[in-house]
Amino acid sequence: MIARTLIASLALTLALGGAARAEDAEAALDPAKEAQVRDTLSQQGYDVRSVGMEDGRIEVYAVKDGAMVEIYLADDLSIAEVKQED
Amino acid sequence: MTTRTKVWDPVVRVFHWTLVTLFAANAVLTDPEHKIHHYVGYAIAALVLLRLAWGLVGSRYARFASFPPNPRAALEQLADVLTGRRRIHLGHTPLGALMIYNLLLALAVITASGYAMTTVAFWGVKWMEELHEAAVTWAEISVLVHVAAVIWESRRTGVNLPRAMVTGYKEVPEDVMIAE
Ligand code: HEM
Repeated sequence: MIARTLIASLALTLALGGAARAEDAEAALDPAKEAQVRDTLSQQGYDVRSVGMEDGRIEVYAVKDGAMVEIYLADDLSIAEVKQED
Repeated sequence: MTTRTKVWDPVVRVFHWTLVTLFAANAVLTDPEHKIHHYVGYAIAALVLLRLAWGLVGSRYARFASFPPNPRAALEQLADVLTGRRRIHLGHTPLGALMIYNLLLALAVITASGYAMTTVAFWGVKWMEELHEAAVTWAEISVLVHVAAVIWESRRTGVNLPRAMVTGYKEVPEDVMIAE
């Protein structure tokens, strides 16, 4: 009984962690839009590593001048925020 | 009547329960983008390295030499499980040994890929992120099997294995055969 409860709660806890991770994945981006994002940012000197969605915004992982950054885009695809990883 | 045998030294026990705490913290609580997740990951990497070193120079049952991967012995243990034969191992059981190597390897992949994700070379590189997440999922499934097996084997053999991992002593009922 104790054993079953322990295993069940352990499974539940890990499932919750998994669900939290899955949330980050979110919906895929339209490929044409992604290509456009890659183009624009490359022209500005960013080495674009990946383009995805986070909290409803387009999020880009990129490197510029050796700095690792996360870029968030506005609806018109202009840069809304740049977060630098330290 | 039971006989008490010292099997797990303090390093093994502290290693185990610290690992359980840190693994649970990063699997469930911490935000992967946050520094804390990274520090906990480094600590897990350090624990794994420490355990690898201890496997070479630690006390008798802590050494890898006392629980080498042995598929034949693992099959025998499986036969014990299926036929209900009560035979115990003082150190790690053959199936337990396979699980331990599996877990240590999974943790090595998790920490190495996690670190890589913070370097310029692999920053934002999708496959590295996917490797990290796949290894985490694999480790979580393994942990569930690990804990279920520990409970199952404790019941089958009458030796409380989690308690031994706390106190360091296996208390073996006298009517149980000791395999080695
Ligand atoms: C409540 C959860 C857990 C319990 C009750 C538990 C219990 C145990 C026990 C009893 C052993 C010794 C098995 C034997 O007698 O041969 C063991 C070994 C081990 N467990 Fe766990 N475990 C738990 C969670 C975990 C987690 C989350 C991890 C890793 C992510 C883990 C990794 C290991 C490793 C690596 C060993 C080998 C110990 C060594 O020789 O250094 N365990 N565990």
